Amino acid sequence: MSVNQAITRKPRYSFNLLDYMLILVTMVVIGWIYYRSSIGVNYHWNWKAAVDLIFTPSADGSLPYFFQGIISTLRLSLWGMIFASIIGILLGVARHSKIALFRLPATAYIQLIRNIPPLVFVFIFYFFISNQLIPLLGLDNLLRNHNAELSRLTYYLFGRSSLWENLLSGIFCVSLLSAAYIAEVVRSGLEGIEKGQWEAAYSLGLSRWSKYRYVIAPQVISNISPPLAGQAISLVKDSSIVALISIQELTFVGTEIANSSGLIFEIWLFVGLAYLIICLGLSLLFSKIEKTTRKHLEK
Amino acid sequence: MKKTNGKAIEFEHVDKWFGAFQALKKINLSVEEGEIVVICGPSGSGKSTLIRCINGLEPYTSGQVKVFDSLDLNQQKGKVGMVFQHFYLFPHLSVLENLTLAPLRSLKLSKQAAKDLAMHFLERVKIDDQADKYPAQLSGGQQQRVAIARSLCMMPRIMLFDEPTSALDPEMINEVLDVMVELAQEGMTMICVTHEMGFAKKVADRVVFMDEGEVIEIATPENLFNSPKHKRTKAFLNKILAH
Repeated sequence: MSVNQAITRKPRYSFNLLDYMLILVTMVVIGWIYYRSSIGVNYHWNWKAAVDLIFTPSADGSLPYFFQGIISTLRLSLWGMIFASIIGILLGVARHSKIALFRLPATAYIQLIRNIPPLVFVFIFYFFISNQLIPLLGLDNLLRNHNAELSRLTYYLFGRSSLWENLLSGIFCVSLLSAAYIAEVVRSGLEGIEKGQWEAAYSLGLSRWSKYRYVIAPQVISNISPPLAGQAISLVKDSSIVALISIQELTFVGTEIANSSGLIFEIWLFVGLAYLIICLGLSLLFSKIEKTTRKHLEK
Repeated sequence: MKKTNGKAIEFEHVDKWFGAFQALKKINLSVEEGEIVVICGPSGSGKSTLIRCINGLEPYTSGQVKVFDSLDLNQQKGKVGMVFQHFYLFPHLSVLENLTLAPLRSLKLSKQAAKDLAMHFLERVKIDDQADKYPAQLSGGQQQRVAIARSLCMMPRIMLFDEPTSALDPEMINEVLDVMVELAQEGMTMICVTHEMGFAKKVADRVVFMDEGEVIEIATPENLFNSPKHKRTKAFLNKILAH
Protein backbone atom coordinates (compact mmCIF):
# COMPACT_ATOMS: atom_id res chain seq x y z
CA MET A 1 0.00 0.00 0.00
CA SER A 2 2.61 2.49 1.08
CA VAL A 3 4.66 1.67 -2.01
CA ASN A 4 1.73 2.50 -4.25
CA GLN A 5 1.13 5.72 -2.41
CA ALA A 6 4.76 6.71 -2.81
CA ILE A 7 4.53 6.09 -6.52
CA THR A 8 1.39 8.09 -7.07
CA ARG A 9 2.28 10.96 -4.75
CA LYS A 10 1.59 13.82 -7.12
CA PRO A 11 3.73 16.99 -6.92
CA ARG A 12 7.13 15.45 -7.48
CA TYR A 13 9.04 18.54 -8.48
CA SER A 14 7.52 21.38 -6.53
CA PHE A 15 10.13 23.94 -5.47
CA ASN A 16 10.35 24.98 -1.86
CA LEU A 17 12.29 27.69 -0.05
CA LEU A 18 15.46 25.60 0.15
CA ASP A 19 15.42 25.07 -3.60
CA TYR A 20 15.17 28.80 -4.26
CA MET A 21 18.00 29.46 -1.80
CA LEU A 22 20.18 26.88 -3.50
CA ILE A 23 19.44 28.38 -6.89
CA LEU A 24 20.38 31.81 -5.56
CA VAL A 25 23.64 30.52 -4.07
CA THR A 26 24.49 28.72 -7.31
CA MET A 27 23.86 31.86 -9.34
CA VAL A 28 26.03 33.96 -7.04
CA VAL A 29 28.86 31.44 -7.33
CA ILE A 30 28.53 31.33 -11.12
CA GLY A 31 28.50 35.13 -11.26
CA TRP A 32 31.58 35.33 -9.09
CA ILE A 33 33.46 32.76 -11.19
CA TYR A 34 32.47 34.63 -14.34
CA TYR A 35 33.67 37.91 -12.82
CA ARG A 36 36.94 36.40 -11.63
CA SER A 37 37.62 34.71 -14.94
CA SER A 38 36.85 37.84 -16.92
CA ILE A 39 39.47 39.83 -15.00
CA GLY A 40 41.89 37.07 -14.04
CA VAL A 41 41.92 34.31 -16.64
CA ASN A 42 43.70 34.99 -19.85
CA TYR A 43 41.08 33.60 -22.22
CA HIS A 44 39.43 35.43 -25.04
CA TRP A 45 35.90 34.27 -25.47
CA ASN A 46 34.98 34.18 -29.11
CA TRP A 47 31.44 32.93 -29.26
CA LYS A 48 30.75 34.28 -32.72
CA ALA A 49 33.61 32.31 -34.29
CA ALA A 50 32.54 29.22 -32.39
CA VAL A 51 28.92 29.51 -33.55
CA ASP A 52 30.06 30.10 -37.13
CA LEU A 53 32.33 27.08 -36.94
CA ILE A 54 29.62 24.84 -35.65
CA PHE A 55 27.15 25.84 -38.35
CA THR A 56 29.60 25.81 -41.28
CA PRO A 57 28.61 23.05 -43.71
CA SER A 58 31.23 20.46 -44.55
CA ALA A 59 33.43 20.84 -47.63
CA ASP A 60 31.12 18.63 -49.69
CA GLY A 61 28.13 20.76 -48.74
CA SER A 62 26.57 18.20 -46.41
CA LEU A 63 25.54 18.74 -42.79
CA PRO A 64 28.02 20.65 -40.57
CA TYR A 65 30.63 18.37 -38.98
CA PHE A 66 29.37 19.14 -35.45
CA PHE A 67 25.83 18.05 -36.33
CA GLN A 68 27.13 14.94 -38.03
CA GLY A 69 28.69 14.18 -34.66
CA ILE A 70 25.34 14.67 -32.91
CA ILE A 71 23.57 12.43 -35.39
CA SER A 72 26.31 9.87 -35.02
CA THR A 73 25.88 9.89 -31.25
CA LEU A 74 22.11 9.51 -31.63
CA ARG A 75 22.63 6.66 -34.06
CA LEU A 76 25.09 4.97 -31.74
CA SER A 77 22.73 5.42 -28.80
CA LEU A 78 19.69 4.14 -30.66
CA TRP A 79 21.33 0.94 -31.86
CA GLY A 80 23.22 0.67 -28.61
CA MET A 81 19.96 0.76 -26.63
CA ILE A 82 18.34 -1.82 -28.89
CA PHE A 83 21.23 -4.28 -28.66
CA ALA A 84 21.89 -3.56 -25.00
CA SER A 85 18.22 -4.28 -24.22
CA ILE A 86 18.23 -7.54 -26.14
CA ILE A 87 21.51 -8.77 -24.64
CA GLY A 88 20.61 -7.35 -21.22
CA ILE A 89 17.21 -9.06 -21.10
CA LEU A 90 18.72 -12.39 -22.16
CA LEU A 91 21.48 -12.06 -19.55
CA GLY A 92 19.01 -10.97 -16.87
CA VAL A 93 16.68 -13.90 -17.53
CA ALA A 94 19.67 -16.25 -17.61
CA ARG A 95 20.89 -14.86 -14.30
CA HIS A 96 17.46 -15.48 -12.79
CA SER A 97 17.36 -19.01 -14.20
CA LYS A 98 17.47 -22.07 -11.97
CA ILE A 99 19.74 -23.80 -14.49
CA ALA A 100 23.41 -23.27 -13.63
CA LEU A 101 24.48 -23.63 -17.26
CA PHE A 102 22.64 -20.37 -18.02
CA ARG A 103 23.15 -18.64 -14.70
CA LEU A 104 26.90 -18.98 -14.23
CA PRO A 105 28.16 -17.58 -17.55
CA ALA A 106 25.69 -14.69 -17.27
CA THR A 107 26.82 -13.94 -13.72
CA ALA A 108 30.48 -14.12 -14.75
CA TYR A 109 29.95 -11.71 -17.63
CA ILE A 110 27.96 -9.24 -15.56
CA GLN A 111 30.51 -9.24 -12.72
CA LEU A 112 33.38 -8.86 -15.16
CA ILE A 113 31.90 -5.83 -16.88
CA ARG A 114 30.66 -4.18 -13.71
CA ASN A 115 34.00 -4.52 -11.98
CA ILE A 116 36.39 -3.17 -14.56
CA PRO A 117 36.45 0.51 -15.54
CA PRO A 118 34.56 1.21 -18.79
CA LEU A 119 37.65 2.86 -20.22
CA VAL A 120 39.72 -0.27 -19.72
CA PHE A 121 36.94 -2.31 -21.27
CA VAL A 122 36.92 -0.02 -24.30
CA PHE A 123 40.62 -0.56 -24.89
CA ILE A 124 40.43 -4.30 -24.39
CA PHE A 125 37.44 -4.40 -26.64
CA TYR A 126 39.13 -2.35 -29.33
CA PHE A 127 42.39 -4.23 -29.52
CA PHE A 128 41.13 -7.74 -29.02
CA ILE A 129 37.63 -7.84 -30.36
CA SER A 130 37.25 -5.04 -32.82
CA ASN A 131 40.75 -5.35 -34.29
CA GLN A 132 40.88 -9.12 -34.38
CA LEU A 133 37.41 -10.55 -34.37
CA ILE A 134 35.73 -8.45 -37.02
CA PRO A 135 38.46 -9.15 -39.64
CA LEU A 136 38.42 -12.78 -38.59
CA LEU A 137 34.76 -13.04 -39.39
CA GLY A 138 35.35 -11.28 -42.71
CA LEU A 139 32.93 -8.58 -41.66
CA ASP A 140 35.37 -5.78 -42.50
CA ASN A 141 35.39 -6.53 -46.21
CA LEU A 142 31.68 -6.96 -46.27
CA LEU A 143 31.11 -3.64 -44.56
CA ARG A 144 33.83 -1.67 -46.33
CA ASN A 145 32.99 -2.80 -49.81
CA HIS A 146 29.30 -2.13 -49.67
CA ASN A 147 28.89 0.29 -52.56
CA ALA A 148 25.20 0.19 -53.38
CA GLU A 149 23.24 3.43 -53.32
CA LEU A 150 21.89 4.15 -49.85
CA SER A 151 18.30 5.19 -49.33
CA ARG A 152 17.72 8.25 -47.20
CA LEU A 153 16.39 6.18 -44.31
CA THR A 154 19.34 3.79 -44.41
CA TYR A 155 21.65 6.78 -44.40
CA TYR A 156 20.08 8.27 -41.29
CA LEU A 157 19.92 4.93 -39.50
CA PHE A 158 23.39 3.68 -40.37
CA GLY A 159 25.35 6.60 -41.79
CA ARG A 160 27.87 6.45 -44.62
CA SER A 161 28.80 2.93 -45.62
CA SER A 162 32.51 3.77 -45.36
CA LEU A 163 32.02 4.19 -41.62
CA TRP A 164 29.90 1.09 -41.03
CA GLU A 165 32.75 -0.93 -39.61
CA ASN A 166 33.49 1.96 -37.31
CA LEU A 167 29.85 2.25 -36.29
CA LEU A 168 29.54 -1.47 -35.68
CA SER A 169 32.52 -1.46 -33.29
CA GLY A 170 31.02 1.50 -31.46
CA ILE A 171 27.59 -0.12 -31.13
CA PHE A 172 29.07 -3.40 -29.94
CA CYS A 173 31.23 -1.67 -27.39
CA VAL A 174 28.50 0.55 -25.96
CA SER A 175 25.88 -2.16 -25.87
CA LEU A 176 28.12 -4.82 -24.34
CA LEU A 177 28.93 -2.40 -21.53
CA SER A 178 25.36 -1.30 -20.96
CA ALA A 179 23.94 -4.83 -21.25
CA ALA A 180 25.62 -5.88 -18.00
CA TYR A 181 23.85 -3.10 -16.12
CA ILE A 182 20.52 -3.71 -17.84
CA ALA A 183 20.84 -7.40 -16.97
CA GLU A 184 21.03 -6.52 -13.28
CA VAL A 185 18.00 -4.27 -13.59
CA VAL A 186 16.05 -7.04 -15.34
CA ARG A 187 17.09 -9.62 -12.76
CA SER A 188 16.03 -7.44 -9.85
CA GLY A 189 12.77 -6.75 -11.68
CA LEU A 190 12.13 -10.48 -12.03
CA GLU A 191 12.97 -11.06 -8.39
CA GLY A 192 10.61 -8.28 -7.41
CA ILE A 193 7.60 -10.19 -8.72
CA GLU A 194 5.81 -11.94 -5.86
CA LYS A 195 5.98 -15.72 -5.91
CA GLY A 196 2.18 -15.73 -5.75
CA GLN A 197 1.94 -14.13 -9.18
CA TRP A 198 3.76 -17.12 -10.69
CA GLU A 199 1.62 -19.50 -8.66
CA ALA A 200 -1.64 -17.81 -9.61
CA ALA A 201 -0.65 -17.93 -13.29
CA TYR A 202 0.33 -21.59 -12.91
CA SER A 203 -2.88 -22.62 -11.20
CA LEU A 204 -4.94 -20.93 -13.93
CA GLY A 205 -3.31 -23.36 -16.33
CA LEU A 206 -1.41 -20.72 -18.32
CA SER A 207 1.39 -22.05 -20.49
CA ARG A 208 4.98 -21.03 -19.79
CA TRP A 209 4.89 -18.56 -22.70
CA SER A 210 1.54 -17.00 -21.65
CA LYS A 211 2.77 -16.73 -18.09
CA TYR A 212 5.83 -14.73 -19.11
CA ARG A 213 4.16 -12.76 -21.86
CA TYR A 214 0.93 -11.71 -20.14
CA VAL A 215 1.61 -11.90 -16.42
CA ILE A 216 5.29 -11.52 -15.59
CA ALA A 217 6.78 -9.38 -18.38
CA PRO A 218 4.26 -6.50 -18.18
CA GLN A 219 4.82 -6.21 -14.44
CA VAL A 220 8.59 -6.40 -14.75
CA ILE A 221 8.58 -3.74 -17.45
CA SER A 222 6.41 -1.45 -15.39
CA ASN A 223 8.63 -1.96 -12.33
CA ILE A 224 11.95 -1.48 -14.06
CA SER A 225 11.05 1.36 -16.40
CA PRO A 226 12.54 4.05 -14.09
CA PRO A 227 15.96 2.38 -13.65
CA LEU A 228 15.92 1.39 -17.29
CA ALA A 229 15.34 4.99 -18.33
CA GLY A 230 18.33 5.98 -16.20
CA GLN A 231 20.36 3.31 -17.93
CA ALA A 232 19.37 4.60 -21.37
CA ILE A 233 20.52 8.08 -20.40
CA SER A 234 23.77 6.66 -19.04
CA LEU A 235 24.27 4.89 -22.33
CA VAL A 236 24.04 8.16 -24.26
CA LYS A 237 26.62 9.71 -21.98
CA ASP A 238 28.84 6.63 -21.91
CA SER A 239 28.85 6.53 -25.69
CA SER A 240 31.31 9.43 -25.45
CA ILE A 241 34.11 7.12 -24.35
CA VAL A 242 34.17 5.33 -27.66
CA ALA A 243 35.64 8.57 -29.05
CA LEU A 244 38.89 7.08 -27.73
CA ILE A 245 38.81 4.37 -30.32
CA SER A 246 38.09 6.88 -33.09
CA ILE A 247 34.38 6.33 -33.40
CA GLN A 248 33.30 9.62 -34.95
CA GLU A 249 30.59 10.68 -32.56
CA LEU A 250 29.94 13.95 -30.77
CA THR A 251 32.89 13.86 -28.37
CA PHE A 252 35.33 12.84 -31.08
CA VAL A 253 34.04 15.58 -33.35
CA GLY A 254 34.21 18.04 -30.45
CA THR A 255 37.85 17.16 -29.78
CA GLU A 256 38.74 17.68 -33.41
CA ILE A 257 36.96 21.00 -33.79
CA ALA A 258 38.22 22.34 -30.47
CA ASN A 259 41.81 21.38 -31.13
CA SER A 260 41.90 22.62 -34.70
CA SER A 261 40.17 25.94 -33.97
CA GLY A 262 41.62 26.68 -30.53
CA LEU A 263 38.15 27.66 -29.28
CA ILE A 264 38.46 25.08 -26.51
CA PHE A 265 35.94 26.36 -23.97
CA GLU A 266 33.29 27.42 -26.43
CA ILE A 267 33.27 24.18 -28.39
CA TRP A 268 33.29 21.97 -25.29
CA LEU A 269 30.45 23.98 -23.81
CA PHE A 270 28.49 23.39 -27.00
CA VAL A 271 29.29 19.69 -26.83
CA GLY A 272 28.11 19.61 -23.22
CA LEU A 273 24.96 21.49 -24.19
CA ALA A 274 24.21 19.02 -26.96
CA TYR A 275 24.49 16.07 -24.54
CA LEU A 276 22.38 17.94 -22.01
CA ILE A 277 19.60 18.52 -24.53
CA ILE A 278 19.61 14.89 -25.71
CA CYS A 279 19.62 13.43 -22.19
CA LEU A 280 17.08 15.89 -20.80
CA GLY A 281 14.81 15.16 -23.76
CA LEU A 282 15.10 11.42 -23.12
CA SER A 283 14.43 11.89 -19.46
CA LEU A 284 11.22 13.83 -20.16
CA LEU A 285 10.15 11.24 -22.70
CA PHE A 286 10.71 8.42 -20.21
CA SER A 287 8.82 10.11 -17.42
CA LYS A 288 5.84 10.44 -19.81
CA ILE A 289 6.07 6.75 -20.66
CA GLU A 290 6.43 5.84 -17.01
CA LYS A 291 3.21 7.64 -16.21
CA THR A 292 1.25 5.62 -18.72
CA THR A 293 2.78 2.27 -17.74
CA ARG A 294 1.95 2.82 -14.08
CA LYS A 295 -1.68 3.78 -14.58
CA HIS A 296 -2.90 0.58 -12.94
CA LEU A 297 -1.30 1.50 -9.61
CA GLU A 298 -3.43 4.59 -9.19
CA LYS A 299 -6.15 4.48 -6.61
CA MET B 1 -25.81 -36.67 0.95
CA LYS B 2 -25.07 -35.64 -2.60
CA LYS B 3 -22.02 -37.64 -3.60
CA THR B 4 -22.07 -40.76 -5.71
CA ASN B 5 -19.67 -39.75 -8.43
CA GLY B 6 -16.42 -41.35 -7.33
CA LYS B 7 -13.15 -40.06 -6.08
CA ALA B 8 -11.92 -36.57 -6.91
CA ILE B 9 -8.69 -36.61 -4.95
CA GLU B 10 -6.73 -39.43 -3.41
CA PHE B 11 -3.62 -39.05 -1.25
CA GLU B 12 -1.70 -42.29 -0.75
CA HIS B 13 1.15 -42.34 1.78
CA VAL B 14 2.28 -38.85 0.86
CA ASP B 15 5.46 -37.57 2.48
CA LYS B 16 6.90 -34.13 1.99
CA TRP B 17 10.29 -33.03 3.19
CA PHE B 18 11.69 -29.51 3.18
CA GLY B 19 15.36 -30.36 3.68
CA ALA B 20 15.51 -32.02 7.08
CA PHE B 21 12.01 -30.91 8.05
CA GLN B 22 9.12 -33.23 7.37
CA ALA B 23 6.10 -31.13 6.42
CA LEU B 24 3.75 -33.99 5.59
CA LYS B 25 3.82 -37.41 7.24
CA LYS B 26 2.19 -40.40 5.52
CA ILE B 27 -0.92 -38.57 4.42
CA ASN B 28 -3.84 -40.73 3.39
CA LEU B 29 -6.94 -38.86 2.44
CA SER B 30 -9.55 -39.23 -0.22
CA VAL B 31 -12.13 -36.71 -1.26
CA GLU B 32 -15.27 -37.63 -3.16
CA GLU B 33 -16.51 -35.59 -6.06
CA GLY B 34 -18.89 -32.92 -4.78
CA GLU B 35 -17.57 -33.15 -1.25
CA ILE B 36 -16.68 -30.14 0.87
CA VAL B 37 -13.67 -30.73 3.09
CA VAL B 38 -12.38 -28.19 5.56
CA ILE B 39 -8.81 -28.55 6.80
CA CYS B 40 -7.92 -26.91 10.09
CA GLY B 41 -5.02 -27.04 12.48
CA PRO B 42 -2.39 -24.84 14.07
CA SER B 43 -0.08 -22.81 11.85
CA GLY B 44 2.84 -24.80 10.49
CA SER B 45 0.86 -28.02 10.63
CA GLY B 46 1.13 -28.62 6.88
CA LYS B 47 -2.39 -27.60 5.82
CA SER B 48 -1.27 -25.34 2.98
CA THR B 49 1.43 -27.76 1.89
CA LEU B 50 -1.21 -30.48 1.71
CA ILE B 51 -3.52 -28.63 -0.66
CA ARG B 52 -0.61 -27.28 -2.70
CA CYS B 53 0.34 -30.90 -3.46
CA ILE B 54 -3.00 -31.38 -5.18
CA ASN B 55 -2.34 -29.00 -8.08
CA GLY B 56 1.41 -29.46 -8.19
CA LEU B 57 2.46 -26.13 -6.67
CA GLU B 58 4.41 -28.18 -4.16
CA PRO B 59 6.09 -31.38 -5.34
CA TYR B 60 5.83 -34.17 -2.77
CA THR B 61 8.71 -36.39 -1.80
CA SER B 62 7.05 -39.80 -1.88
CA GLY B 63 3.66 -41.44 -2.20
CA GLN B 64 1.12 -40.24 -4.74
CA VAL B 65 -1.70 -37.79 -5.21
CA LYS B 66 -4.29 -38.78 -7.79
CA VAL B 67 -6.73 -36.23 -9.13
CA PHE B 68 -9.63 -37.86 -10.93
CA ASP B 69 -7.61 -41.07 -11.01
CA SER B 70 -4.73 -39.41 -12.82
CA LEU B 71 -1.20 -38.54 -11.77
CA ASP B 72 -0.62 -36.29 -14.77
CA LEU B 73 -0.41 -32.72 -13.54
CA ASN B 74 -0.74 -31.23 -17.00
CA GLN B 75 -4.09 -32.89 -17.39
CA GLN B 76 -5.29 -31.21 -14.23
CA LYS B 77 -4.25 -27.69 -15.20
CA GLY B 78 -7.21 -25.40 -14.93
CA LYS B 79 -9.38 -28.26 -13.64
CA VAL B 80 -8.15 -27.51 -10.16
CA GLY B 81 -8.79 -23.87 -9.30
CA MET B 82 -6.97 -22.23 -6.44
CA VAL B 83 -7.73 -19.22 -4.28
CA PHE B 84 -4.87 -17.75 -2.25
CA GLN B 85 -4.71 -15.92 1.04
CA HIS B 86 -3.31 -12.81 -0.66
CA PHE B 87 -5.56 -13.02 -3.78
CA TYR B 88 -2.68 -12.57 -6.25
CA LEU B 89 -4.74 -10.78 -8.84
CA PHE B 90 -2.64 -9.54 -11.73
CA PRO B 91 -2.19 -5.87 -10.79
CA HIS B 92 -1.52 -4.60 -14.32
CA LEU B 93 -4.76 -6.00 -15.71
CA SER B 94 -8.29 -4.75 -15.13
CA VAL B 95 -10.73 -6.98 -13.27
CA LEU B 96 -12.25 -8.12 -16.54
CA GLU B 97 -8.82 -8.80 -18.08
CA ASN B 98 -7.83 -10.79 -14.99
CA LEU B 99 -10.81 -13.05 -15.65
CA THR B 100 -10.50 -13.37 -19.42
CA LEU B 101 -6.75 -14.00 -19.57
CA ALA B 102 -6.76 -17.73 -18.93
CA PRO B 103 -9.90 -18.49 -20.99
CA LEU B 104 -8.39 -16.57 -23.91
CA ARG B 105 -4.92 -18.08 -23.70
CA SER B 106 -5.53 -21.57 -22.35
CA LEU B 107 -9.06 -22.44 -23.45
CA LYS B 108 -8.61 -20.41 -26.69
CA LEU B 109 -12.05 -18.87 -26.39
CA SER B 110 -13.01 -15.98 -28.64
CA LYS B 111 -12.85 -12.50 -27.14
CA GLN B 112 -16.61 -12.21 -26.93
CA ALA B 113 -17.04 -15.67 -25.43
CA ALA B 114 -14.35 -14.99 -22.83
CA LYS B 115 -15.95 -11.68 -21.94
CA ASP B 116 -19.41 -13.23 -21.60
CA LEU B 117 -17.98 -15.97 -19.41
CA ALA B 118 -16.15 -13.44 -17.26
CA MET B 119 -19.20 -11.23 -16.84
CA HIS B 120 -21.28 -14.27 -15.91
CA PHE B 121 -18.96 -15.10 -13.03
CA LEU B 122 -18.50 -11.47 -12.00
CA GLU B 123 -22.27 -11.27 -11.65
CA ARG B 124 -22.25 -14.40 -9.55
CA VAL B 125 -19.77 -12.89 -7.11
CA LYS B 126 -21.75 -9.61 -7.34
CA ILE B 127 -18.93 -7.48 -8.60
CA ASP B 128 -19.86 -6.98 -12.27
CA ASP B 129 -20.09 -3.21 -11.78
CA GLN B 130 -16.33 -3.07 -11.06
CA ALA B 131 -15.25 -4.92 -14.22
CA ASP B 132 -13.15 -2.08 -15.60
CA LYS B 133 -11.33 -1.17 -12.41
CA TYR B 134 -7.84 -2.28 -11.51
CA PRO B 135 -7.29 -4.63 -8.53
CA ALA B 136 -5.60 -1.88 -6.48
CA GLN B 137 -8.85 0.11 -6.62
CA LEU B 138 -10.87 -2.64 -4.93
CA SER B 139 -11.23 -3.60 -1.28
CA GLY B 140 -9.72 -6.85 -0.01
CA GLY B 141 -13.08 -8.62 0.03
CA GLN B 142 -13.82 -7.51 -3.51
CA GLN B 143 -10.36 -8.62 -4.65
CA GLN B 144 -10.85 -12.06 -3.16
CA ARG B 145 -14.25 -12.40 -4.86
CA VAL B 146 -12.62 -11.45 -8.16
CA ALA B 147 -9.96 -14.09 -7.51
CA ILE B 148 -12.65 -16.72 -6.97
CA ALA B 149 -14.43 -15.66 -10.17
CA ARG B 150 -11.10 -15.77 -12.02
CA SER B 151 -10.60 -19.41 -11.02
CA LEU B 152 -14.19 -20.31 -11.90
CA CYS B 153 -13.69 -18.99 -15.44
CA MET B 154 -11.50 -22.01 -16.14
CA MET B 155 -14.46 -24.26 -15.32
CA PRO B 156 -12.62 -26.16 -12.59
CA ARG B 157 -13.98 -29.41 -11.16
CA ILE B 158 -12.21 -28.84 -7.86
CA MET B 159 -11.62 -25.60 -5.97
CA LEU B 160 -8.83 -25.24 -3.44
CA PHE B 161 -9.00 -22.42 -0.91
CA ASP B 162 -5.83 -21.56 1.00
CA GLU B 163 -6.92 -19.43 3.96
CA PRO B 164 -9.08 -17.24 1.72
CA THR B 165 -10.27 -14.94 4.49
CA SER B 166 -7.15 -14.68 6.67
CA ALA B 167 -5.87 -11.50 5.04
CA LEU B 168 -9.22 -9.73 5.15
CA ASP B 169 -10.60 -7.12 7.49
CA PRO B 170 -13.34 -8.65 9.65
CA GLU B 171 -16.19 -6.80 7.94
CA MET B 172 -15.21 -8.28 4.57
CA ILE B 173 -14.99 -11.91 5.61
CA ASN B 174 -18.66 -12.66 5.19
CA GLU B 175 -18.97 -11.41 1.62
CA VAL B 176 -16.28 -13.92 0.65
CA LEU B 177 -17.74 -16.75 2.75
CA ASP B 178 -21.17 -16.13 1.17
CA VAL B 179 -19.70 -16.74 -2.27
CA MET B 180 -18.02 -19.91 -1.00
CA VAL B 181 -21.22 -21.19 0.60
CA GLU B 182 -23.09 -20.62 -2.65
CA LEU B 183 -20.42 -22.48 -4.55
CA ALA B 184 -20.61 -25.35 -2.07
CA GLN B 185 -24.38 -25.57 -2.42
CA GLU B 186 -24.01 -25.85 -6.18
CA GLY B 187 -22.05 -29.06 -5.75
CA MET B 188 -18.48 -27.91 -6.37
CA THR B 189 -15.80 -30.16 -4.91
CA MET B 190 -14.01 -27.93 -2.41
CA ILE B 191 -11.04 -28.22 -0.12
CA CYS B 192 -10.71 -25.26 2.18
CA VAL B 193 -7.93 -24.46 4.59
CA THR B 194 -9.66 -22.05 6.90
CA HIS B 195 -10.17 -21.06 10.51
CA GLU B 196 -13.78 -20.07 9.88
CA MET B 197 -15.50 -22.68 11.99
CA GLY B 198 -18.92 -21.22 11.23
CA PHE B 199 -18.32 -21.91 7.56
CA ALA B 200 -17.16 -25.43 8.36
CA LYS B 201 -20.28 -26.16 10.41
CA LYS B 202 -22.54 -24.78 7.71
CA VAL B 203 -21.27 -26.54 4.60
CA ALA B 204 -18.45 -28.99 5.32
CA ASP B 205 -19.10 -32.69 4.85
CA ARG B 206 -15.94 -33.52 6.75
CA VAL B 207 -13.40 -31.61 8.74
CA VAL B 208 -9.77 -32.69 8.76
CA PHE B 209 -7.65 -31.74 11.74
CA MET B 210 -3.91 -31.63 11.11
CA ASP B 211 -0.99 -31.14 13.45
CA GLU B 212 2.76 -31.36 12.80
CA GLY B 213 2.32 -32.70 9.30
CA GLU B 214 -0.06 -35.48 10.26
CA VAL B 215 -3.77 -35.98 9.79
CA ILE B 216 -4.91 -36.43 13.37
CA GLU B 217 -8.62 -36.74 12.98
CA ILE B 218 -11.25 -36.69 10.25
CA ALA B 219 -14.91 -36.34 11.19
CA THR B 220 -18.13 -34.58 10.38
CA PRO B 221 -18.20 -31.03 11.70
CA GLU B 222 -20.65 -31.90 14.51
CA ASN B 223 -18.55 -34.79 15.72
CA LEU B 224 -15.24 -33.01 15.42
CA PHE B 225 -16.36 -29.82 17.13
CA ASN B 226 -18.61 -31.36 19.77
CA SER B 227 -16.84 -34.58 20.60
CA PRO B 228 -13.28 -34.59 19.36
CA LYS B 229 -11.60 -37.94 19.91
CA HIS B 230 -7.99 -36.92 19.97
CA LYS B 231 -6.51 -34.79 22.73
CA ARG B 232 -4.55 -32.63 20.29
CA THR B 233 -7.81 -31.80 18.51
CA LYS B 234 -9.38 -30.90 21.84
CA ALA B 235 -6.45 -28.67 22.77
CA PHE B 236 -6.63 -26.87 19.43
CA LEU B 237 -10.40 -26.38 19.57
CA ASN B 238 -10.16 -25.07 23.10
CA LYS B 239 -7.67 -22.49 21.94
CA ILE B 240 -9.64 -21.19 18.98
CA LEU B 241 -13.09 -21.43 20.55
CA ALA B 242 -12.11 -19.94 23.90
CA HIS B 243 -13.63 -16.53 23.19
